[in-house]
Amino acid sequence: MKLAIAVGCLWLAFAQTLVAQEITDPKAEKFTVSGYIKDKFSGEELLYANVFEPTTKAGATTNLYGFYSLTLPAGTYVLQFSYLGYETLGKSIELKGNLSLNVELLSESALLSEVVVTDEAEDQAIKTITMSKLEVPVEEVKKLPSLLGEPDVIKTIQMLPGVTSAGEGTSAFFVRGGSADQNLILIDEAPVYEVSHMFGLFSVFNTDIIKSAELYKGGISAKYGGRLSSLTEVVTRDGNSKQLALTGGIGLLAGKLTVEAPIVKDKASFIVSGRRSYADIFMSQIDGLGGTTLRFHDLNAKINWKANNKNRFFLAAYSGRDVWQLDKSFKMDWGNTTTTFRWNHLFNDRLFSNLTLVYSDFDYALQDTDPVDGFLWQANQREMSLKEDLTYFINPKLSMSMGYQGIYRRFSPGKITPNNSDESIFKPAELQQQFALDHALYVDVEQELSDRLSLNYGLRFTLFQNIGQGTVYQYADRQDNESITILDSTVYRDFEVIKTFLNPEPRFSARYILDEQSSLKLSYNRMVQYIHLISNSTVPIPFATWAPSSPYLDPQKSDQVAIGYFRNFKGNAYEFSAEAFYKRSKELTEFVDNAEIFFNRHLATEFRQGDARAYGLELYLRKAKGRLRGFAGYTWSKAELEIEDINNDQAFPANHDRRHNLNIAAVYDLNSRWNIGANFTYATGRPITLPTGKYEFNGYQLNYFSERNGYRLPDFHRLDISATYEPKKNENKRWQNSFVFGVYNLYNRQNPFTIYTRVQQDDEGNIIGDGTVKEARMVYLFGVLPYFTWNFKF
Amino acid sequence: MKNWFLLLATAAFLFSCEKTVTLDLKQSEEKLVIEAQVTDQPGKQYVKISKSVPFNGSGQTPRVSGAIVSMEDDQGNSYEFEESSSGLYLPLVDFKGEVDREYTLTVSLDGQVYTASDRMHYVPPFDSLGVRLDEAEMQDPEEDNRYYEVLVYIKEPPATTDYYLAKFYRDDKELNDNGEWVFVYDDFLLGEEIDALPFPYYYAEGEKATVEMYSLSRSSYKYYLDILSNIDGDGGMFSGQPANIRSNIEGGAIGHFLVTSIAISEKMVGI
Repeated sequence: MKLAIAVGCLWLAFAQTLVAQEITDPKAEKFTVSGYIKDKFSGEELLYANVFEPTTKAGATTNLYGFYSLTLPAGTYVLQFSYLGYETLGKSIELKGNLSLNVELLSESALLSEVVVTDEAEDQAIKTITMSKLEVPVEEVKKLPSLLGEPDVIKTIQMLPGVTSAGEGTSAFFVRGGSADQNLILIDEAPVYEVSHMFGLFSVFNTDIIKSAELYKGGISAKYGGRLSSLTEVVTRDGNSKQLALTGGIGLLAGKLTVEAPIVKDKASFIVSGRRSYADIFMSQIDGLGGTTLRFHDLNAKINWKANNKNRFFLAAYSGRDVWQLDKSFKMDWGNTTTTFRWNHLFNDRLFSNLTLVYSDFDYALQDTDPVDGFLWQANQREMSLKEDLTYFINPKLSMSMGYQGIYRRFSPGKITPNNSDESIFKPAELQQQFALDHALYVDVEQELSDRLSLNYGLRFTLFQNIGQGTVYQYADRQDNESITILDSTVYRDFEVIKTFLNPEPRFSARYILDEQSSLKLSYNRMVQYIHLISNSTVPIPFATWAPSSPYLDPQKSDQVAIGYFRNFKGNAYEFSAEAFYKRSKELTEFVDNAEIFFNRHLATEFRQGDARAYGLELYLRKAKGRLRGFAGYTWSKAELEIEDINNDQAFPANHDRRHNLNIAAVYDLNSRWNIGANFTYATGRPITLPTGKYEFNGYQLNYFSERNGYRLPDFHRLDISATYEPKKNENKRWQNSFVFGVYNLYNRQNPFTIYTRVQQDDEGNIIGDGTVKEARMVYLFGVLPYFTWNFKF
Repeated sequence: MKNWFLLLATAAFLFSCEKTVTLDLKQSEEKLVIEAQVTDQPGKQYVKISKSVPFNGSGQTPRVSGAIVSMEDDQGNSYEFEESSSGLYLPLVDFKGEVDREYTLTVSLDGQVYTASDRMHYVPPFDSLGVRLDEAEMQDPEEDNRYYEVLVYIKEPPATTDYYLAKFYRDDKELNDNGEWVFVYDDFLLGEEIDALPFPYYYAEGEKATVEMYSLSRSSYKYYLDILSNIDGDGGMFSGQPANIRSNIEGGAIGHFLVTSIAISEKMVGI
């Protein structure tokens, strides 16, 4: 609490200085024009849209909620409102008092296609202070080739520079050398713990409901924290506030339907979107599968109420689940549930408040119905958080945010319930639940020092408490998992503090404009991660739990520096950037060799923490407008770890360390009805640990390893293509169709997924020879795969 | 964890494929491998000494002769071993171990001494074995005529923390999925009464079913778990990173000294 007061005082003092500075400005009286920028047809707020006043060159950008605020001297102006893919709108205003101005822009796609919109492209990439941030072009993702015709923002994120994947068919991604659990993935501000469907073939994000998706690899503002490597912010649509709209599609894998409509026109709207796979319906018909089926579904819903210009509310929920049924008796399922309540409030034209309440739950269960050796295994983790963010638009050159976030977390790592108490060989058991309280206070300032130089600086103060109830054991040797000797134990009551961690997290970014077309940027940030994924694999399986920082598990920390050069070409039609980064992490959580991860009461003996470092160069070229759109990215990077007891204490390459990465994704409009898309991806093969020797024991042929990740799989490369056909729009009908055809892995490259070893055997599983010969088996997933999807809009 | 492969294969609608590849591997260091055990059963005490070979090698691994091998217990009894065939060392005078005694193995070879010690744990005896015909399996047996389940009845001592290794035999041939599975358990989740727990394999009429239950120390339990992940890994994709197996032998050799009591039971399958 003292801390809160201290930071609060500091902020107030600071704000007064800044305000004082503004008041002493000798120029005429100033007023503020503020409001929301929206889409004319759907009423959806446009995020990061621009407003610009040409004579004073003052400008502002809408925030995550579509709100802008621009303060100018009294006078008459023509404001330019613009947004990518929308017709720029000029509005004359007479500013003689504070003015509330909501504007609606017309989307190019809503216009008849014969009309060519010739607005100026944006130079935002150069002007914004933010670096290491990449926008996922959601509309293009829908037209780009995809696996089985399911457009997937996570698969596109995996193609962005600075991001590597473990291979196709997985939803895990690795940002600037960080591991898969270091990515904070938010849907409407609620964290999603497991983003994969079908073990990673698809992600939980249904593109039909996504308004925007952005990836921050660095330069993360003080508003966000909790994970070391990245932030992915997915914002869903609010629902059409003008008229009823239906969107849907039927693909090879899944069908989806979205309904949205105003409740009170322009005031309140809702959107509901569902997606369900239907492979299980066919799988249950195939005898060879023996009743094995796998399915998933997603449900997103949102209610949005714009009470007045000063108060807006929304309630959003997501729920998704995978169910895997193996024959009749064995079942697994996992899923996320999130709920977000948000209240946007304008105290005045320049003070914007956002209050958010978030609930997030991830759970999984395994069930075997056999009466003798069957059981139900359940695990989950849950968090509830409250976040208040205040943004003060002091003047066009200065804005400041301050906020607080508090999170209550509960981890239930596992509970086993035998099926039938009479016949079962098992007894009920439960791993100890763990609890934590997480507090963060932050100040974030965006300041334009001159026409060329802008700064963004902030401080996030985090306080994390591992709390009771719980029992903490004292081990004779905490790192000895072979002979566990417990010396003593301490029992903690509900909410009693077991251990407290306190960390300042400074953040800093600067942008210097070189000329009209180019700028230089620099950023530094420190991130602290207090929760740890319990997984020792390259790709986390959906049956993983998390653990809080505790007496035996320190928070993970990282420091990252990045510099970047940004340049636009051909009137901003092409955006180019080059960024170099260096990231050093401490107390990175790993597991000792042969760790027992599942249902282990003494998991503390399996943890090891150590250092990681990563550095690299990322080149990125994007074309956001015109007939040809898309991006190309190249990354050279290196990621290594050094952790005691692993690889004989020597440094070794991270599981996802890939030297070269090249990705190209492009969509080209052939004419008003046809467009084509293509993805190409190339990456150095991922590191793998292979046996160098073997020996016999008890009749087993065992592998002997010399070093961890000492080998690499063959390089990965693949080309996918797609074509989208949109029949000529009928001016009198709202009904619109589109057909997507595509081929995944066009030249049928056999990309290695992994290599495992076994005693040499034939295709039927019979041992060849005397059983002393071992063989390496390379697994690859997808050959050439065509697909077809039909989408509609009403 | 090839199970995850199965899952993924299902997920990918069996799109996945695999093929044998030849690995281009670096030189492997040669390690001395000691496989030793002392049990409470006669004729089951032995020490095997061999060497590791490169991964791509074939045939039996080289056996190591000329070692001086002995065991002793915490009562001061000493047991000499002699080489009976190349690399296989058997007791000069047959003996059997006793529960709750600590045994120490000493191997001297080329001036280097390797030692290991462990305590023998109690194993509960089997109450009985039963046989049951599995109707569903009989409809569509995976292997011809094999649709009988053999059922285990045993009491697990609830007061102690115990670790077990089970071995299953069909007509005296060990069944372990072509050397790719290890049946190793702790008792954390087990109730006291284990009744009618089926063997993991089916039997045909006229076949002899045998089960052996070893009572392990925690270090031996860890050793067999390590073996399981060593032979069943998927290259670190969904399972943990492949790693070397821990050894309880001091002096630089790999392998394990297993000190265990064994419960054995067998049953002729048939009506």
